[in-house]
Amino acid sequence: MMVTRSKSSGLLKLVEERLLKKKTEEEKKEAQISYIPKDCISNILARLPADSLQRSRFVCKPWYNVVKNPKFIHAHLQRSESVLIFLTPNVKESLHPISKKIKVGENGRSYPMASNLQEKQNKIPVESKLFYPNSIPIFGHPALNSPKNFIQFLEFKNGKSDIGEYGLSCLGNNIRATCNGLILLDNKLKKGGVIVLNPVTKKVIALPVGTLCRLLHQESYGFALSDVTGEYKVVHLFLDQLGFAGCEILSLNKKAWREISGPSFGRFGINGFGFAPVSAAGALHWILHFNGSNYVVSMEVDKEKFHQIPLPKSFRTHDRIIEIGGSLGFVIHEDVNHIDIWILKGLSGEGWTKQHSITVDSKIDMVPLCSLRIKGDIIFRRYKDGSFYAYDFQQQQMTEIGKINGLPRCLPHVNSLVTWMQASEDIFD
Amino acid sequence: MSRVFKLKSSDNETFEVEEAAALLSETIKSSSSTEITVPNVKAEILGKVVEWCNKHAESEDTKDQLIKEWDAEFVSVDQHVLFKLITAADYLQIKELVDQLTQRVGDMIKAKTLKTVEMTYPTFNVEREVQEELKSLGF
Repeated sequence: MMVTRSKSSGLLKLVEERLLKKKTEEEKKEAQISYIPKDCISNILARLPADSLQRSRFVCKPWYNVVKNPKFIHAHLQRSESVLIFLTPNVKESLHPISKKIKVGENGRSYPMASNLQEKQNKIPVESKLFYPNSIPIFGHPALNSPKNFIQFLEFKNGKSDIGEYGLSCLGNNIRATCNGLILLDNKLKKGGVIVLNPVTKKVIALPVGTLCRLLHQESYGFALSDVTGEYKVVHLFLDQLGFAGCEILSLNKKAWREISGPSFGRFGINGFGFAPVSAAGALHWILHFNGSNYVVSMEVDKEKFHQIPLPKSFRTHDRIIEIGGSLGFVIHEDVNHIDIWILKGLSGEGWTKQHSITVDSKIDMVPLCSLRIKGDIIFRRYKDGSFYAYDFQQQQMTEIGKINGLPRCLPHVNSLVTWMQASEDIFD
Repeated sequence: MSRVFKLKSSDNETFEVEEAAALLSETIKSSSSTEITVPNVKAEILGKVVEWCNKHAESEDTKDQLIKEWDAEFVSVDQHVLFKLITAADYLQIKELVDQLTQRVGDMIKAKTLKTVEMTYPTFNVEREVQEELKSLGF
């Protein structure tokens, strides 16, 4: 009897102690949880890089609502720095007999499994999201089991370049165009088609197939945002056998191709398009031919009208047009250690002004790739060895900042949470 | 003769602030009186805000390295102190201070999410887990 009573009183004491401890813990917690004003939450989240922002969506409902707001996404985009996006081919798996692993399939048979040397992180094939938009396949699709190319980006911070990963692989060999964080890739599962992807949010959509072109260099895609209507437009420019250009446009709101009258100023020759177009000053700009070209073909995004704009000087091998501070810039190698930067004043014949001359440490094979939208530096890459350089306008200095092996085609890009879907559609996958 | 402003905290402590420092706050700037009560902000926090204002009123040049170091020290406080400072700076509308504090929170979140990345990867790794299971079973 005595034993039970002391036991029960002991138990009671334990329970009391526990309750008390819990209460003080809760009080301590409450003292620690301070509330931040709502607009400060937007202020804080806007400072995060796009990949952290993507994860922060799932923290709580208020954060989810802040992040999915198109105005917030736009504000975040405006403060995000440019990066270069490119594809890296998957190193061929080693089929050496010793390193061969065996995988057991459903029916008990064994299959050889190639050891993927590069598989430190598991990469999601972009195309699998086209098949299964709302789930993750367990055994994968046979065509997609060997990733062809990995999507990566190069960012520039503190005077050096770093490679960033998206954890995505794709079958296409080309990034066709980029705009505000969205990229256009070849759709290898649908001949002649393209897909629109945001590599940060991993949202992807396949566009209907437009006019088919036999040869790669006879077509080019441009991607731009219309300032007036706020819709994203994909522009498909193509050459026929006679060298005449045709054009069709797809708006991401309506997802149907419509033909527009192409540039009417004569033949473009059979050499076709060398580079992806540059989006600047409310228009898309193409340079045709590699050497000796004398003009830029520009298309106003809103009016969908073509212009032929003469270049201030002839375009040669390592010269390029790039977007600089919202305007179209023409970066030309005048001489050894002499690069000139011209800015286009307008599309209606206003001409170019020579804005700057780089006279330090510039080599003849330095190809300008993009300008950093926040910092303002111009990023160059040497054709000889793939090393990257940044030119700082304030300091007037050219600094080497890194290197990538091989010379993958890089396009200017920005990591953002931009989506083509309307605000009412839920972007929560 | 510059005016002196009186800031009162929620626990009734008063801080005297010189005009130059006080006018860093938009709320005080647009207030008609020189006595402002700051609700929900305790003396300890208000004191720190006043300290920041005084420091920034003395030296005009915010690009100065010393000020930058002082600012970096200032924002390296505990999370709950940080949040309380944000509430205070937001009420007083001191843009520069709010920017510095929110940048600090952003940096803390950035550092945290890198860790949670390791935790999210398993969800994409189903196939690999299956393979590893089979490996451990001897296939």
